[in-house]
Amino acid sequence: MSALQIIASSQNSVSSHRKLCNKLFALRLQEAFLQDVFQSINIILTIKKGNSNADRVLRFIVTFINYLQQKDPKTDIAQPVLKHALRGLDAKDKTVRFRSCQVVARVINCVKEIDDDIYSILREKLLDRVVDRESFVRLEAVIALSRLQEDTEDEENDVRNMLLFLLQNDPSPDVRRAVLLNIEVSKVTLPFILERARDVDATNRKCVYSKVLPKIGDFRYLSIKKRVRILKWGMNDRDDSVQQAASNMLAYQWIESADNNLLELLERLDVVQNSEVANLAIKCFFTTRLETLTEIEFPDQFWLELTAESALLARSFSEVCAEKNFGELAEKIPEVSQLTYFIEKQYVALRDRSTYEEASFIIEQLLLIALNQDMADEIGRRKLLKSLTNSLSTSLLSETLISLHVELLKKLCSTETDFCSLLVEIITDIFEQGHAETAKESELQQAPPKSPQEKEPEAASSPVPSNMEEDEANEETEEYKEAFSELRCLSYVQALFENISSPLNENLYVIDLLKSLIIPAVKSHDLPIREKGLECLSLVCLLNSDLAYENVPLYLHCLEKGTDNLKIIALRTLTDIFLQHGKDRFSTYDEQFSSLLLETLFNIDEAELQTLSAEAIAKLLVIVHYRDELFLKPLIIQYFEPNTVENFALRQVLGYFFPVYVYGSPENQWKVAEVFCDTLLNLMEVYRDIDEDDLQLSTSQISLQMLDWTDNEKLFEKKVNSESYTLNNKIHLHLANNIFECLPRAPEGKDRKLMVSLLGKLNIPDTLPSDDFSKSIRKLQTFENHGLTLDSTSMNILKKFETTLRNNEAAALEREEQEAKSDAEHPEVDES
Amino acid sequence: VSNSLERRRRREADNTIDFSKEVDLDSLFTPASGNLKLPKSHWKKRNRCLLPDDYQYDSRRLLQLFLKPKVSLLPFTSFNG
Repeated sequence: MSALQIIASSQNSVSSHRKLCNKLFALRLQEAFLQDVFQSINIILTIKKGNSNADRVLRFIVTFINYLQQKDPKTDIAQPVLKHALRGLDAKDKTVRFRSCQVVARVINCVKEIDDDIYSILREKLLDRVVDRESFVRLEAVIALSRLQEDTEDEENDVRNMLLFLLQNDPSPDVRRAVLLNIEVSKVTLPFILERARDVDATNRKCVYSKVLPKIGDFRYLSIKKRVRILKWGMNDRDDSVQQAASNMLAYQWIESADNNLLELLERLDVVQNSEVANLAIKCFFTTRLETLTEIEFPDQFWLELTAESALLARSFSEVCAEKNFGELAEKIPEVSQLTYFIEKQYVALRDRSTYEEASFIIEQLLLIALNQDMADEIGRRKLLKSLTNSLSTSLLSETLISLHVELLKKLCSTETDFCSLLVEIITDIFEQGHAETAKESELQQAPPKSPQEKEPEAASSPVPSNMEEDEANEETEEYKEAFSELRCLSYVQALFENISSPLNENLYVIDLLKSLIIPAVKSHDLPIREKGLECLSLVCLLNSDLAYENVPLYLHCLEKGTDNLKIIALRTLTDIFLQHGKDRFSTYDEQFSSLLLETLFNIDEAELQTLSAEAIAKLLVIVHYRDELFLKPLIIQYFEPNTVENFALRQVLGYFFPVYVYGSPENQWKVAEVFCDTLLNLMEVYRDIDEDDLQLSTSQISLQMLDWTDNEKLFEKKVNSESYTLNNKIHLHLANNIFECLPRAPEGKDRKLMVSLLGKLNIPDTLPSDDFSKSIRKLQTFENHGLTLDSTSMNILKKFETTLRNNEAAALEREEQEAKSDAEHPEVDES
Repeated sequence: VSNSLERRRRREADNTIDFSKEVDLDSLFTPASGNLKLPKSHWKKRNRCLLPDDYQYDSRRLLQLFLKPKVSLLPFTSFNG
């Protein structure tokens, strides 16, 4: 056998390669040896991608080159082969370019030291190939080029910079992935690599977690911020396989770098600043390795020496048990009684500024655990109730803790009335505390010091002779303390109302609170107090429609003239009022509310408010059908408007809204069909003025999305009980009629063509009555009488559509005749 | 079963490479006359092929009150205040 024949026979099976290496080795000194090798490569260069035989041959050649280097280094052919393959890199034929890159990619590793002149040609040509117009060529070129990366962190590293460019900009996800897998990990490249965890392609995202990050090894190479971010992205990914890969990385690789110790892992995540991600991480860990749930223990010492990390661990554990109904495992957590004891120990640490933050965090975790417990233990329940009440009255708690305390109290009280009266007592207590202190202080400033038996307020300023500056400073401190106390009360009030659901009509406590706390706050000169007051008032309005009605003008005023924060509060409140109490009650305010909503919707300078407005309108439409005829078209337009491209939140909100709106109700779907043409024409006008290169969407894509919304096959409930037809079965015929009517308004050219093309995509059942078809045919004729110019494709579509209509009409007529005949022959029993 | 075996045999036969044929070196390695590069417009400029931030919105949030997330409102119910 000649060398060529030996190489040829390697194409069928890899298992033969070892033997063939031996055979080929024997011929290495022959004159035609290298020629034959080149010839075999030449042939491979012409074989299209996808032929596994060709790949096998290449594999054999590389295996042989290595074999040769081992056995007889003097006859090394790696460099000559490389040099030969170089020739095909800029060939005309894309297959040749592809295969040449492939050969180079595989052989380049075999060359110990590339000659300088070959190296620079190679580099130059590969830099050209990585921007080749064919993606499969670019892919192999990337692999080849990545072999020429140098370690230098030099800014001028062309190869590395090119690879980074491709990583961010190559339109083919496969090419991006090839870079991701082959680029050297360094301080410079790391951010680019990590960024791919948000690549649009799910396989690429998964790759970061399953291949690249494990390659990096110890997660401590990443800063805390990066660790948290990469976990957050992975565990929240909408694609299951990416989520799984991230969980596996955490549960099997990262835990190893933390000495297989969950607490140590948490210590590396700054749990206090990143509690949500940390919680999610532990939950993912437990879910991925369920056996650890049974293995973990929480001895007494654990609870007596709680840290932020261990508290979070316990909380996450209890959440997993609750979510998965692992009742038995949940028993590892102490009962309410004991839990209360551990919580109380933490309150002491709250008084010390240096331990305040950590103690707050630990209490938060313990309360969250308590929320998950059932309160069967009566003694425990009472103990906890007492403890929480006490803490609310005496400790300085953060907003989060206030909210949790109150929420838990609600759960512990047997009735809402009990809960209310308890909270009001606490609030009154706090209120009086705050006033007593400031009263005492002003007393002290005016009067001589009291006798030592009088109880001194804790933060009293010692009485000093009247001094202007100090008086002013004291006044400021006093004002500050008053404000602080007022805000604190309001926080309690807010928490109270967030947890009440029964209407307020009979609740005298609340009227009292309103008068003494909330209304004064709403009128305050102090902005934070005013905001808090309004938030409390909002909650009260939700509980009582009369109060709501009284205060709508106030919120409308805030929406129109307030600061951004006030506008947000106002918008949320007004929307909730309409949703909770029904829109009819407030029709007096329809005009004003609607115009403010629309104004905010269209204000691109205030993205957050714009999104909020979209969300508000969405809720109003879906839940109470609020003025669809006014809001539907603007909402669709804003969804597709080029100037909202950067407002991802808005587009995500509306992206959820539209399917729920249209597929949840046939009436809603019909409404979209009604505004379809108008809206599309409007959008086409907007898009006409924009440079195509800047566009992310085309009008064609928009029209298809809108058409999809009118697809009655996608309704959540397609049929009504006994009816045999699908709801909205006439919708597309109706849409066709609308299209005929609006075509004259569509400018000649691209836009008109697009509208006509929609006709070809409609889904019109042939079972409709003949009358409907007749009507459509008439509309079509009316349009044709306009004598508008159309391109030939459009003409064909129209012709075809007309034929379909006529055929359907005829068939329907025949069917109706038959039915009439059979009715006459077999009259149905009158069931009236 | 016989079908897929058949298909595999056919594929293998199609893949067979004939190493005896002549290859014209000139046409093999002739460089292209025109531009082989991907046109500029194809390079994704704006978003670096990245997904936007996920605001974790879902249909559940759509049906909630702003101020009281725990209360979920079902649509198509008439409210009487």
